[in-house]
Amino acid sequence: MKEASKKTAFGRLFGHWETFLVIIFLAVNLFFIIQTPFYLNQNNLMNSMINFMDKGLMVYGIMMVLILGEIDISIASIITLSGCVAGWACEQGCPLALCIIIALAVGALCGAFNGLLLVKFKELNSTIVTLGSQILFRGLAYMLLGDESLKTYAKQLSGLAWDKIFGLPVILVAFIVLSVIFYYVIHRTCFGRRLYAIGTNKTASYFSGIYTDRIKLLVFTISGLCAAFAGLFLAAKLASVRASIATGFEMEVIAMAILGGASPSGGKGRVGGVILGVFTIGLIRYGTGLINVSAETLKIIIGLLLIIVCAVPNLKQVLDDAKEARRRNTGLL
Amino acid sequence: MNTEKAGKLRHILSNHSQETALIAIILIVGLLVQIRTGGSFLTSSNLNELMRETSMLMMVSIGMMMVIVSGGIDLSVGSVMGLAGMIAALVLRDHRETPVFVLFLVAAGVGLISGVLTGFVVAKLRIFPLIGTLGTCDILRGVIYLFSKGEWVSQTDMTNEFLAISTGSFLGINYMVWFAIVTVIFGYIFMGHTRFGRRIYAVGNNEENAKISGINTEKTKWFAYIISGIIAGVAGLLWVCKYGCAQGTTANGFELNVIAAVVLGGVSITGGSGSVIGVVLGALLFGVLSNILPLIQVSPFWQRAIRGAVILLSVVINALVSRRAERKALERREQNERSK
Repeated sequence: MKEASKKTAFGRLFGHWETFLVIIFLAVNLFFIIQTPFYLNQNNLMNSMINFMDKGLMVYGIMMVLILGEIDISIASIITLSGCVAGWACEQGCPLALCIIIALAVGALCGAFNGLLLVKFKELNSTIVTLGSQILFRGLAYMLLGDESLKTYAKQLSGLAWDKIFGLPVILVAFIVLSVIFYYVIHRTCFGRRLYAIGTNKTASYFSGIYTDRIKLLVFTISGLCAAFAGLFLAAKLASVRASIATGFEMEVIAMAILGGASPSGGKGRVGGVILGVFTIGLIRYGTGLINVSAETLKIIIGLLLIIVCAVPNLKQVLDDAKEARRRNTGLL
Repeated sequence: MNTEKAGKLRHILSNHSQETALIAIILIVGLLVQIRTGGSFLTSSNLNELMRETSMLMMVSIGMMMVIVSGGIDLSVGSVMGLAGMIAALVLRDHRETPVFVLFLVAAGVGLISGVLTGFVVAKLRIFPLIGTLGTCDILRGVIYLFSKGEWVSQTDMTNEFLAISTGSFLGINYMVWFAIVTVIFGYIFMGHTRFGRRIYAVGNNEENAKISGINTEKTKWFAYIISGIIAGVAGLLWVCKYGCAQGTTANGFELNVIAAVVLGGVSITGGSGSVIGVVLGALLFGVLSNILPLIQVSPFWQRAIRGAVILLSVVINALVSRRAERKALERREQNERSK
């Protein structure tokens, strides 16, 4: 009896991922506040936004893909390809507005390409399709630009990186707007409910009349569109576009979404949690930069964090199984 | 008699359609390039170079195949190669008298530890393989820098006996190719003719069923990752040996080539099916493709896109072929029903 109540307390703690997340978030902040006096400097904080918010802008696309129970690791390459195509168009003399439209269209097309392959070939899973398209998209960017870097397009965008609206960086405002939109779409619309339904049980939702294919296609397109949108800000920050930008972004974005409570097994995650996830990882990046941690060590930290975060929800199951195995005491293999 | 023979041949062809198709493609591509380049493809020096280049890919593909057959994926092999190569190279730099086989033991040991870690993450902690190994990929890549402190180990720090591994040959076949041959034979016996190999297939095919029939699925998966890690470790040292240089970015992104080769070889990415012979041919085809692209003067900037397109095309073709096979089986069954 006693043990049972303990178990439910354990379950309740980890059942509410957001409470756990708030604790992590506060712990991270506390750690850095003690470590360095510069952490709370408002100027520093605002400037750090531009460094991690570009990944934050992509997180909702990935989150929707994860809710569906799929994965998309081609987003980093989509940023690159959309940026490169727009940069190239700009060099050919297109006006800026047209370039931005081109960038977004390329992103949406890339996402739709992934989605279409997955819908048309049900045998394939999103791991291999997006792995292949990840290589393909970046390869197309290399075909277009070689090792050139284009500056005109990015220079025209530079306002996105350095201007402020009401004292807030543009990118933060964009993130807030996106958050509101996606909160509404994911938690307040029929479409959002359907996402969770498909992620929880695809077959059941198909037979209850949800157009699963159409939604999958749409979600991958949105993911591509989000990536292209984030690409605008990234280009502005880097002040140039090259075929090698945004390498390895997908891991951090996925880490943000999963830390925020989304799960690759589908049907989970809330916008509030994901916002916390974005800020936790972003602030770790910012704080470790302040206390002189090298980029390579940061890689280890974020990799570890990703694994720990994925492991925690499984922990109860793993412990239970270990107990079961010990009870049976079987040593097969 | 003749028809019986033809029937047998057709049987073999239909059972091994993937392998037959791969051999045909390799031959056709080889011939076309031979004609196009006026004979600079099928020269002994080019073939030797091709095999040396492909041997590492082939080795790591065998390990990756085991992981993929078990239902997982291992994105960390590139980092494991880099880490094992770097640590072994550091040992060589600081103790020049170290015998070569000890270096290989060191590299295999590093691979083993990495494999145990990756396996722990995927099998024990039950993290989605793609995400878990994406994490270990970055962790191990970061660990390389912790060991090397950002330095390179260059050719001058290496002994001649060590460098001879990549250039020397035994029975006219390069040592590196021997490594690949031994790995392939090991993989063939292991996957097809041992209990462990069969268990890997069983787990990848249907984990729940495998568990119910008494297979320790966790350990089986873990085992696959460990073997993949060891092979990647040895291949990492070969990489260092071949290029005469160990650096932080050694074999960065190599895992994508490996996965491409495995998928080309007809291994189902959802696990449970795939043959070692197919993987060998897939690696060979991939090696031939990356060898001929510079020969027919394709810009290096195009190669990545071509590689991505090849991966996507091969999975799509695989899907179409298996669809056709299923439909044919269904038709045959229907016919049998009717004839009854």
